[in-house]
Amino acid sequence: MSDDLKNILSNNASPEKNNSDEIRKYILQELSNAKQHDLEKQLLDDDFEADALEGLAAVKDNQKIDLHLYQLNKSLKDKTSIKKNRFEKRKIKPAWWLYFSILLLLLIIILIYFYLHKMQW
Amino acid sequence: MPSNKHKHITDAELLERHLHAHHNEWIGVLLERYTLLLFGVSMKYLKDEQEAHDSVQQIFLKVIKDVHKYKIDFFKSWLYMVAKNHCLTLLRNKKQATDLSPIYDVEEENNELENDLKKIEEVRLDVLKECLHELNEDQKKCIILFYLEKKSYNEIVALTSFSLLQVKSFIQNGKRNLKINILKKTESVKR
Repeated sequence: MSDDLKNILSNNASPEKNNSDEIRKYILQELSNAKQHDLEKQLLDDDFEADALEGLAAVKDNQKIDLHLYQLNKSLKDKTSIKKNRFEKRKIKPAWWLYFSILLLLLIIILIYFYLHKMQW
Repeated sequence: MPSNKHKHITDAELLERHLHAHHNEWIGVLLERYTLLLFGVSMKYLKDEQEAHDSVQQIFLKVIKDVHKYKIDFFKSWLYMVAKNHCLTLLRNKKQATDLSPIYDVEEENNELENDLKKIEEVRLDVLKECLHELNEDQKKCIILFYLEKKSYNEIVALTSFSLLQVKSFIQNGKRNLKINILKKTESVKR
């Protein structure tokens, strides 16, 4: 009881902690009452996450949040891995079937060459 | 959702790696952790999904461009400031918010309150109880249900006649008033 009272004064905010997963579950109503309470308590001391939850609660269709997230993350990846993509495009992928065909063709030519020469002898 | 591949790397480490790298891959990993929060904050201020979506993309670009210019102790706090300022600038540009005070005042006010609280090394339980009972009835009720009975906001809404917004507001203001009252009492005792 006394610990609970003192908890009112504690600051649960951590500049390193990221509750994005829990916030998403909270919005999608996938958290139990106890976990909702835990998150709400933490968010009282974290303005960033409290603002985010307030904003996300204003999205009319909860399911659209995942769509926005997917598009934003995809666009972020496009922006931050441009060089890698270019490099990958420039790289020639090994075409093993082509190498094998060329080798086979060369082998056939050599065999034909020896066969013809043998005939002449 | 962000990939788990880099989950073990802290924000500070990702930032450090980015500052020493010649590509933007690390900052991409770091920003991806905050996409949901940035979208939420943008939604809170702009109240429009498409505008919030565009705002997050602009914040991404701004961070990638500016992150080298500052000494950042806590990326999360810095990013929140960047996001909030960006949204307020968008609002000002739209001339929809003509009377928005600078956010630094609010930040400073909060910091002062937290610093004051750090001065209190140990709050006596009887002082805490006394201050709790001095709160107005609605705030007291919500604080007790939330902190002592560990109810969630939705449960408190079901148990009382308050709306969700009222519950949030009573808890936030109740906590704030409680801290202020304790501070006053502690300082008067010291004198």
